[in-house]
Amino acid sequence: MLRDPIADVHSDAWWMRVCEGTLSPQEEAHWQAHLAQCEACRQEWAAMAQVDMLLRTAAPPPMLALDFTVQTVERITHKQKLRQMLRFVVGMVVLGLVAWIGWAYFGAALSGAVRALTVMISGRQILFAALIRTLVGLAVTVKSLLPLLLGIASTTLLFLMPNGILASFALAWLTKRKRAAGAAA
Amino acid sequence: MEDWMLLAQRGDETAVNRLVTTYQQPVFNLCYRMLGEYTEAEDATQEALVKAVLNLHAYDAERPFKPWVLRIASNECIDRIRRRKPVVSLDGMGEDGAWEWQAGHSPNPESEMLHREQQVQIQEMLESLPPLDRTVITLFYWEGLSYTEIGDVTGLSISAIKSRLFRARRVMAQLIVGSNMLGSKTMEEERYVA
Repeated sequence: MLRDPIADVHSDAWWMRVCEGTLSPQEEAHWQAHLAQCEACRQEWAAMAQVDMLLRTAAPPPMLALDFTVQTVERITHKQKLRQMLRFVVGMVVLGLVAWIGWAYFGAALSGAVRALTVMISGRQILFAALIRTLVGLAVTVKSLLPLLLGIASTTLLFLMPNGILASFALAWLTKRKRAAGAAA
Repeated sequence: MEDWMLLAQRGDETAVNRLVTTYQQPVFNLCYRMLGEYTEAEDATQEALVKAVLNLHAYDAERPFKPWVLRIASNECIDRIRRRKPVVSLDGMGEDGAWEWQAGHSPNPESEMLHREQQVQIQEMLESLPPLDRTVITLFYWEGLSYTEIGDVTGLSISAIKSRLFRARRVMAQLIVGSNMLGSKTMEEERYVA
């Protein structure tokens, strides 16, 4: 039921319904009757039909160049690599900043521990150097003791150097495992 | 997300190649209609595809991929249109000032002339529209997207899409009426009516 037919047929809402094809048979009849009388609507309706036809029958755009895919993929992979490098650099900078801030705030406590460790290592190194000098002196003086002295020097190296401590623990662990495997057998 | 898309996100060249090959033409079709010039449309297409691959982590795998990549392309084209200086570029124009038909595969001069005429008409009509309306028209008529998918690309509601489609067609119709082109059908149009 149309409240105001003449106003309605010139409204956007009516025209949208005409374009979508949602008029009732009664409204369609009214519309056709109006078109027969209204030159402006008839012209506009014909123009809209022409637009619709033009758009629907338009030739497709041209095809892309043959090397387009290759160029695009190259550009993408290049940018991805740049991003990875940037992430790595930013990560290192952040790590450096965190370490610097950490050292600035906790450096006093850490430096004491580092000093103690340094003294331990250098102390051991001094002790080891002195021991080696003694053993070499003995070896030169009493040549028959050479193999024994070499053995003692090697053992001392293992126990007194920091990496020797790790090697000692590894050796002890391996020996324990071997004994356990032997006991199980 | 499909497996090959995940691989593309991680930089696998084969997967990236597949993604680009699958979507380059639909993206180019949109860019060409929106920008009206082959070289610029090609640049915009490449830019859109690069952005799409580099931002795959932002893609919601629950939704279809095509509207998502077309949205990126549409935004790229709208940015380029807004950055354009208000001077008509001579790129792509032939000696007579008409938009040059770039396909190069028309079989005969008559057909090429017809295509050029049609292209000029369509491009003039599209240039008269705001960028968003141009996107809606292109997606509706040439990409075959549904109203929902157009909404995914443009961020508009279905009623807003219908309204924009109607207003865009009306503006283009007024251009035709204004230029007195009504009734002077091209040969293609006569064949269509027949």
